[in-house]
Amino acid sequence: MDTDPSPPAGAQTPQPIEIEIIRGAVTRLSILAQVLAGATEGEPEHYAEAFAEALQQAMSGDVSPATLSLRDGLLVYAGSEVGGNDMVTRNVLLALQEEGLAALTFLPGVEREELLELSHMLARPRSKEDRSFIDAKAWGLRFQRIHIEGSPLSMVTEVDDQARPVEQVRRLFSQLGVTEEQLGEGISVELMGLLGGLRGLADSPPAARVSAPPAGSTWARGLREIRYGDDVPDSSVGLLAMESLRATTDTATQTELARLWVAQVLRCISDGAPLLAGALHQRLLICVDADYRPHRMKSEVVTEALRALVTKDTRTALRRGLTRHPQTDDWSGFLFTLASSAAADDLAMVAEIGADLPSGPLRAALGDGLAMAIESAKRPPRDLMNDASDDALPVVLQALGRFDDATLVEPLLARVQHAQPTVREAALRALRSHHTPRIGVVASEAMADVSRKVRLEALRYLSVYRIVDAAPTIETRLRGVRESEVDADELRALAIALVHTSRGAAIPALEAIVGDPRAHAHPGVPTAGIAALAAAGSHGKAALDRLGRGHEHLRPLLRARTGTSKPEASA
Amino acid sequence: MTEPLRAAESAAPMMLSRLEHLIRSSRTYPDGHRALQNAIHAIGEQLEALTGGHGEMPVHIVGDRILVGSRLLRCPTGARSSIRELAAFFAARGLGGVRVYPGVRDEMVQTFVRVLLEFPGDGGPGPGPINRELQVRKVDRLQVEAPRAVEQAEKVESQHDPALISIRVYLRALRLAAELAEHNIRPALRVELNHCAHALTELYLEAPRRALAVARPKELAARHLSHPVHTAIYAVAAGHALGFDIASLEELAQCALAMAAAMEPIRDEEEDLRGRPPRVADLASTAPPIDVNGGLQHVQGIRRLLADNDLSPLARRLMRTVFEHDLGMDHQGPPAVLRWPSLHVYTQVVCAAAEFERLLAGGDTGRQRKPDKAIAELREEEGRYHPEAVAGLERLLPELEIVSAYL
Repeated sequence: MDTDPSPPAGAQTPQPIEIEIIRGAVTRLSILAQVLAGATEGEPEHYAEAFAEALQQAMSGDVSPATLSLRDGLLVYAGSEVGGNDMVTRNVLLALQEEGLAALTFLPGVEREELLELSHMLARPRSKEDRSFIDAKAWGLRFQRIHIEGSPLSMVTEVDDQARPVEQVRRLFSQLGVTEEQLGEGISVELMGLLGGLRGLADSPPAARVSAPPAGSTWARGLREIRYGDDVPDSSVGLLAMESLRATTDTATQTELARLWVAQVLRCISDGAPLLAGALHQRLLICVDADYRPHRMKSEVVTEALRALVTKDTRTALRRGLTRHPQTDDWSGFLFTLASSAAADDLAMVAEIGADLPSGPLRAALGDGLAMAIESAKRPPRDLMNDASDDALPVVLQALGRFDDATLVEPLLARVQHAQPTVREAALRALRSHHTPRIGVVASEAMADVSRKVRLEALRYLSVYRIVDAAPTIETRLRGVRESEVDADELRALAIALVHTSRGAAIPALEAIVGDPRAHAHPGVPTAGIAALAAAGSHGKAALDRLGRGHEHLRPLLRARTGTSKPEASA
Repeated sequence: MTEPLRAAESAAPMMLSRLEHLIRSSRTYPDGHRALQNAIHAIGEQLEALTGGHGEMPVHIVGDRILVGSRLLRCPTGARSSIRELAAFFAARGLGGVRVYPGVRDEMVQTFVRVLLEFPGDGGPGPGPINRELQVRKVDRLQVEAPRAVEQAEKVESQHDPALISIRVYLRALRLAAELAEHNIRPALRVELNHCAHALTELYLEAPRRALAVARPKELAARHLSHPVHTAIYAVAAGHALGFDIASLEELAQCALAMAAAMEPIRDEEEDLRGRPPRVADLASTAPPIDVNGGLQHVQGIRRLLADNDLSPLARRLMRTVFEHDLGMDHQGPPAVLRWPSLHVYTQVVCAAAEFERLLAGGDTGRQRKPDKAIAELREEEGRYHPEAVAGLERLLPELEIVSAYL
């Protein structure tokens, strides 16, 4: 037998519900039964609520279905008896068994209302005359996420010479809760005839075991694909979406189907399936492409449905999906396409979708896509910045970083003073493609920002453009900064920025800071300074030599930096 | 049957189900966690019941049955899925079951599960190395066993009237078809679909003749309900003849039953077997329906099956097989698709079975064919149906002849 394919790396697999939760729910059900029967005083709704709430909370997580089976008066979950010993529970279970309950399955995401309804159905007081079939009752209620499995009741299916076929078939109908109107007038008469025929039919041996299809045959190949879940890959689901839309014969159906497929995209985002979301979205975009859409396809319907993807729901779904599937590589393509295909009116909303994304490849992908959409919309990028909400600004600024437009500089500089650090950081990042003295001044000031990310972005700007005027400020900060204020990474960025902004002129000063313990307040400065000097070419190396000769306490740091701590390894 | 044997038969499914739960939980919780302790304690009781009065007791999982000693039991409904999971876990390590000796202590169970989890599920290593590892860790009361065949097994049958049980399975499948034909699919209905497919498959494997008798054409049953159910039985029969395993046969039955979501009830005015004359509106329409064939509305099927937002592999399979049901191997049938990969392996069986059923029942014309004539007609449609699937159906002819002699 083949094994099931393992889940992708980083994916979380559903976990079983703990048995104590099931035991607790059964206890509450028992109390509810007592209250409903009048044996205990209390408000039935209170106990029904308690039953529903506990189960609903447990089933709302990423859990596998919970099946409780009822056999010989015992309620069993995952092999353990969960009914307990009290008489009320036992009586309820016996009554349920008589009504034909074989198993009860709770599916993930079951709603409170359904559980409330179920609790009343299971715990209701029963009189001796009250003989109903639980399968038929539950079937009529059309539960969404609760499944009830009925057993072939003894009164119905045991060999019973006394009962006539007509009576047996009638009982089957009532046990399953079906009527002739549903299945076809007169079918019960046919089934009676069939019952007689089946009883008279000569016994046949069980189906003989047939050897598996030969390896390499169509069947063997197909079955192997199925076992590994490769038989309907994401690309085929996308194709199915497109072809089913094309096969619709009227606009109403097409509208509903398009809405359903777009809902699947949203669901895939929420479930952490970015590749499937991408495959579906790509095919839906083909449906609206003027050049490539299939013949007879009404693109307006799909376009309208696709707009449902640019809403706040997508933001929530994305946040959830990213926790389930954290691999950024899988999301980038989809996010880029989602943003690049947005209509002119939806640009701000697209940016808002990425409000919870950290700076990095995902925000970059969404921003790049948005930049493309801005170009397609032929809309001045500056307008979008003015209209965008605070939540949307980080992605908008990410997109604006792609435009080489000098009129954007001043608005971007204004955003460096924004109250939110993510906006300040994004504004500085967007200014990477511009170089003016004003930006240098603002970046120098941003070095003292309260947000570490903003400070690092400012240092990056000063380093890249070698802003000479900033060197004294950086040197002062390197000398005065304390351990509680910055971490080792930022310290190294400061030291490197000092070398870069001074264009090498600050190497002696840095050497002095590293060599003299009184010249710095942070104990990590020597390590950071040595790293910066090691990357500063021949002058930096000469400074390191001098530090090694003159300061014995720095030699372990220097050896660690230059890799000479293990001479035998290098030899 | 002796009392200890009855106790062992009752404990075996619970023990296996609990073991699967423990294996899953052990992947999440560390040793000594309360969740694991409860599970281990519960297994201990069942292991005791298994070995009570016996020196040792081997328990194997064989397909969908449990072999306790030499007695072959049916999996209880509630434990079926977990025992299947355990079977897959065992199979991935080259195992088929466990052998239990009296005197198992709780700590042995925990070590037993940890040892099993230490071996990756890549088809090996079989019972030898695992048992040696268990011996080293001082677990001498529990052993793993290689997979076993069941030729010599003694079947434990139920006391129910098999004919009535068959009718119940049939009625239950019709009830499902009626629900699918009128309402969108929902998660609970998918579970019902799974159980119905299981019951139909079991019915065929246990008593093929009875299953084929149930699938005989019924004039009074609504056609849009009976067609998917009968097709499911013929598809299981053809799949079995082709060598499909039980899991595949059940999925095959699910794909056939899911067709009910796309079936359109026949309206009274169309029930005239001679067919109704075309209306002017039909002739004048510039966009004739490219989607509908023989009452099967492919788009409606997709719409209904999408309703609960399930895109799991099985849900995708159902949608794909329903959508490409009428395409045919030559891709000439509706709906007209631009480019489509080759038909799904289940579609190839289900669409041949559906056409076979349609011909037996008379289809649109009402002219019922005999099984051999129906096979001959299928063969004529070369390129549309897979010849091996048709051959699989052809192997049913002797059984169908016997059935028709009785009914």
